[in-house]
Amino acid sequence: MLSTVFRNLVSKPDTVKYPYAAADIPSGNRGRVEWNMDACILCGLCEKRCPTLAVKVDKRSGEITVQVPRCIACGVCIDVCSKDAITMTPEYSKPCYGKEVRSYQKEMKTVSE
Amino acid sequence: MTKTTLIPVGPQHPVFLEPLNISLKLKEETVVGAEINYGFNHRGLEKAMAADFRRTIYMCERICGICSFYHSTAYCQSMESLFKVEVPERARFIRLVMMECQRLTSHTLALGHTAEAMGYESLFMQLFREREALMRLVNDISGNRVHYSINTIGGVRRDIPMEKQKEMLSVLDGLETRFAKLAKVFKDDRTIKERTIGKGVLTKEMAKKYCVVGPVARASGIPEDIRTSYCRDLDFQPIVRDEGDSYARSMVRVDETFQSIQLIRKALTMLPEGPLEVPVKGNPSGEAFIRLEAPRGEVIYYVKAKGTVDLERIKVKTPAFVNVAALSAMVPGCEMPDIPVITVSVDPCICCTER
Repeated sequence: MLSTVFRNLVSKPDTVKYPYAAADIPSGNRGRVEWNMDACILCGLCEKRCPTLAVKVDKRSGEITVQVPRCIACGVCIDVCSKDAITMTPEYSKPCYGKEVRSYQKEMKTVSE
Repeated sequence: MTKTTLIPVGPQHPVFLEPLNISLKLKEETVVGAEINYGFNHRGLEKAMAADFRRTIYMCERICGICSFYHSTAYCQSMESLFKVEVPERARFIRLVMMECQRLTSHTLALGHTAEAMGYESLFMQLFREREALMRLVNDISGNRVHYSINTIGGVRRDIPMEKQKEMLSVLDGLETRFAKLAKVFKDDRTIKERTIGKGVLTKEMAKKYCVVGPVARASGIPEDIRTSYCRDLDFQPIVRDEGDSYARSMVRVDETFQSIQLIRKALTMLPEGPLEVPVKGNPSGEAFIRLEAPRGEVIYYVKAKGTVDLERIKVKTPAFVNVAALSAMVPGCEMPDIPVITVSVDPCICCTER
């Protein structure tokens, strides 16, 4: 027990001061989902298979909207996408004031609301 | 003649992580009876789960945050038996590795919580530090700390590549040595022994009468473990103790953490090559019944499908439901201050129980 006390006296804390230091996120983490609208063919499979109904694909206007709080980052949309148009980065979505809705337009690259 | 006093413990109590009510009948300081009340956390998940069978994989993970992977594995296994497909061997082994990882995180949580209930804050913190290394490891492998979401009907969605296997083995080596030091405190510390040995005894007869499962049953001398058939190629022997008290239940968990590390090592060396999943087509029909050994005991899934996308009925039987009920057989004869430790040694999970 004394060895634990002395070791903890001189060692650094195990926790990360998150907002001030970068969060310790492993490379394999499922975080933020992004659509690449140049590759997307608006087939609507991601909307059909999304377990939480977070994705809406409007084929007429060529717009994909994602309700970020609904997304559970399961990665099903990435698995079913035949054109590899959906990518996932390890970082989580940034905290925000409202219920964030991200939209992607087919002609332009990204339009955020 | 002494009067009988009724003392409610919970539903909100510092020692319980989740809402559970125990009405204790006391004669002076000695407990003479107890009544367990559930039902403060009902979410109607079973009804919600009887929907699109592909979406339900992610819904049933949300039943519990500690044994989420067991729920999705049990559900996927029942769907596989409905579709009459055989999971590839590699997928079966990856499921086994992830299940044992989750057993490790669950047992460290239960042990840390037991330490905290006894006032061992430092031991609790140290156990959770080791758990954090484990959580980071499973996050890297599966993609999430709690809801792994790597199961799919017919296999798994993520592989464990060679470099991740090596990283996993090195993390587990470090964990094993550090766990061994902490396990020594659980085994030999005088105060822990005095607070747990002979407290909350559940005899073998009572254990059979209450149908307890998991570490609680194994601590009462019942060698019941579904892993004996699931880990058939890994030379698995369940850990059994005969005392049936709080100490035995904690010790079964301590020994099972080391056993899980050994199982992961064996499974990784035997990991066969091959595909990760077999495709399934169409809609399920028929009935399926699956048992699986979760950290707290056996979890049972009954699924009834009607040939459409939506399922007809899902019934889940979780281990904590019977284990918590057995508390009423453990507490008579104990003193009031022992109640939190006995309750925590059963490892009650109300999330699982009430769904």
